[in-house]
Amino acid sequence: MRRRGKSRTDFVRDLAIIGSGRHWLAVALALSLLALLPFVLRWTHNLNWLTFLNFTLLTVIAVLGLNITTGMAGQLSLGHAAFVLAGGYALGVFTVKLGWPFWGALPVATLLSGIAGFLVGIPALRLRGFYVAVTTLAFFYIIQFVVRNIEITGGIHGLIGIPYPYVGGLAIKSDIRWYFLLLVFCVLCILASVNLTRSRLGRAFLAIRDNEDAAANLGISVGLAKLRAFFIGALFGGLAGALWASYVSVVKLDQFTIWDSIWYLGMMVIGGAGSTAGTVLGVIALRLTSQVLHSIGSSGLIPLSSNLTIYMTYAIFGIAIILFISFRPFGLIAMWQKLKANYKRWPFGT
Amino acid sequence: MDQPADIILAIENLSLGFRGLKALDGVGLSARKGETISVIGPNGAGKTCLINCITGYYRPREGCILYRGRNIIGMKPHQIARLGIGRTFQDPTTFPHMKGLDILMAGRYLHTRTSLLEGLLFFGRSRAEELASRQRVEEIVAFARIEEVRKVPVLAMTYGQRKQVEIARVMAMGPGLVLLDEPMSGLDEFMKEVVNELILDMRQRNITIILIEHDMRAVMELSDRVVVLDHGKKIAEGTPTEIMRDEQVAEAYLGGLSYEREAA
Repeated sequence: MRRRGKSRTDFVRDLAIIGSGRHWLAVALALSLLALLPFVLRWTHNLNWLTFLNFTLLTVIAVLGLNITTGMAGQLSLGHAAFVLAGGYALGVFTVKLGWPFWGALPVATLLSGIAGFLVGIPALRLRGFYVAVTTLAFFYIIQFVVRNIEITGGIHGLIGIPYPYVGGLAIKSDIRWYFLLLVFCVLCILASVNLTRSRLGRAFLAIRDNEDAAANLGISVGLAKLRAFFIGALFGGLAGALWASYVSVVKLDQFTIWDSIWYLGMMVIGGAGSTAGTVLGVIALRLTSQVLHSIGSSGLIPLSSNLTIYMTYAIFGIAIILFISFRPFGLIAMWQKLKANYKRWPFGT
Repeated sequence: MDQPADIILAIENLSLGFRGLKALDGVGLSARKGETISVIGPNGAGKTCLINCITGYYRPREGCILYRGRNIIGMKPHQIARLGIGRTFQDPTTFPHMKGLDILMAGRYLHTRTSLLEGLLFFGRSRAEELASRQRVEEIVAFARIEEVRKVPVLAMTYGQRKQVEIARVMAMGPGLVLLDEPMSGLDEFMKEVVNELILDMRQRNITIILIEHDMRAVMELSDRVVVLDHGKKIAEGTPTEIMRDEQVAEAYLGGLSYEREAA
């Protein structure tokens, strides 16, 4: 029996993200389905699902960032929501207070968030594991405190009237237009994340995650690599925050809570830490389940108050995360890969 | 100090202490280009400490380590790696979750220059460097016979495969000096032969090797000179045959048994 993928020596094809004609077909099919989805939703009068989709796309961008910092480089971050917050507020201040155009403010807001990430990374240079997590947690509260207490961010009231972007004269105002804009950003972020895994820096991240000391002997400056991991992760988070701010046209502190940080981590872990595909899968899985549970809760199908169903959702996710960490630490993506491998080998071995 | 020009590594009067314990006590060693020098000695003799000093993980209390005439004491591990000093670790589960191919590609880190932005966008040097690295890595994969584990994470590999990957990784780095920490330990005869070939290949490439090993047959076969450590001190140095006949070595290391008698 010929075992597929065992002795492929065509490096060029191996390097490509999409390696075969069949793979191209699958990607084209998936993208066209995603492009058709909003029209199907409109046709079936399910437009509230479009809002859900848009937030899911934003979350994917944010969690991809966390996956770089924590999943790839192994720097446990409990403060990822702070970067999302920073990106959102930066865009708000630039557009509302300083009157910048959206497309001018977006890259600067993203970059500022990245720089915030770089700064958070500095204490991590001398710390390992859990202590890094505590630093990032502290950073979250510091940035929240600062934003609440300075004037330019609008304090507890936040900022309202954040402008929507124009693309080629087209105002991105409706949910459906936002969907396409966010889809483009999301696909670009996925590409960047995959690119990272096929570059020297991505492998340096994996190496320091697995063994800082041995990584140094590969010639990797561990400290610099950690700072870069925080920087890139925060870039993604900042981009998500900035887009989010414009999408909902306001920024308020309760948009970005410590719970979001925890959710991001949960999504990444359940999907498969370190894997781009896993991260996307995790975000979709968790958001979809949570949406379904909320729908059931508010539909009155079960005789419980909607408040109670929200808490039950939390409890269910808590249990899910614990179960995944204990029994499937590499997440949904590893389960999928195992299934695929077994299918290929069938009926030989398991 | 007067030295022949082809001396790659010169260690003098190296001492390392942990509190009261003297891990290394005035150790000296020198290696010419392309030489293989074995360091043997009972457990706890300070062999791994010596490697850790050379690669910058430990900071010796006294002495100097000259690599190509340059004192490397005080340099950080990644700076030392950049000079072309590679090492393997005794426990080959170095990067537990990385796949074989990724580990070897990571070994090419110092031979690539792709920047952060080029990496994220996959433009510029990114593609060309990836392909060039892969080319070299595949040569090593074929030579080290690790085709099977290209896409297998280390934890799913057999112990022997981990050892192979560990040596292949250091080969991928293309170093001038390699420090091998017990590459044969825990391997069966067949796997020892495979590792032996890998080390011989490095020798042919004129790479200087410091080999820590308990397997006396490998030491006899591979080394130009043998250095014997005991309790942090160098007790003997010479050709493999000389060392095997040395009474003091037999006492400290072989427990009074000579090599020939053990083999028979």
